[in-house]
Amino acid sequence: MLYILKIMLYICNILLYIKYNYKGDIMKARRIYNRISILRQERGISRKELAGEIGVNFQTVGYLEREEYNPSLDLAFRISEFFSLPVEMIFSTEPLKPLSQELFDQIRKTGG
Amino acid sequence: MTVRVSKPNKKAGILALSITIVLVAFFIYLGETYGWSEYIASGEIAAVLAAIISFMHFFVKIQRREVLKGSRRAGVVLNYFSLLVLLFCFYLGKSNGFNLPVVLIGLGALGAIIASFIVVHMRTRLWHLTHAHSDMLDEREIQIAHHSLRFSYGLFTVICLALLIVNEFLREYGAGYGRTPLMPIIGALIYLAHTLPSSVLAWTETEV
Repeated sequence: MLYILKIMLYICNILLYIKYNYKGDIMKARRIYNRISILRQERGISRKELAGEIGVNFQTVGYLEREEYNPSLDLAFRISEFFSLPVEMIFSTEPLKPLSQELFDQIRKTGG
Repeated sequence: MTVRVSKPNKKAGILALSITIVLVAFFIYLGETYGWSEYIASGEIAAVLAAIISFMHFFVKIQRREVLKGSRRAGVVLNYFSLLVLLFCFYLGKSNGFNLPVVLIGLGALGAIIASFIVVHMRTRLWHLTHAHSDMLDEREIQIAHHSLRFSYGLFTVICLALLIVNEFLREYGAGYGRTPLMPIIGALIYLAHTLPSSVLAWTETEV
């Protein structure tokens, strides 16, 4: 009986480990906003074509566009190189304004 | 840069298939020479299943199709429920004799296992995702494969320990049921160990 109790305690231990560790580090990561979807549509390319250019699976592009996955620094730079835009124009830790609004704000700031 | 798509290794496939065919022939030889005991029969079934799975994994190209999350979850439940039914049929047949209804239900469960396996694991490419070399996957796929493997490892341990408890109970209070042949359960556990990671992904991922 003691043997069975020991196994049951071990099971509880593992279940608690699973509960607190599964996808734990993914959930803790803060959300990164991006403009991939709008830039892709602007250039008239499909998810598959973009995926081929940046070297990922096309489903990963879907996850990136829905902001369900935060890219690595390497992938973020590959995306920015593909769109020929600075990384901060594509990715942000705060919700992104429309590109036209951002351009207008910049022009107003510089006084042009 | 090109898209990296996980492709099964043909050489490894030929090797795996050859090994399983040799095992099938070996169990047939054992059965014919020493008589078909339940252990030899279980070994033969396991070798045939391994041959089918390795053939499907390495040589059959099933067109990739998106399967909705609800259907994937239903497929996972059906797959493991059918596995339990198959095991139940085996032990029922062993204790009461393999009559026609038991054999038919067992064959139906086997068919359901194969059908749900194709829909949930092969058609969605999840099987290849959890079995592919990391060079073949992108960073997100490596991340989700790692998480699903870690989760499955824990779950598999829990299932094995639960089986140990059941076995201990049966040995103490089950009037001889604790000494049942373990070959089918071991076979089911091997199947579980291989399919759990992709089942976890089928259950949790929004788009596969």
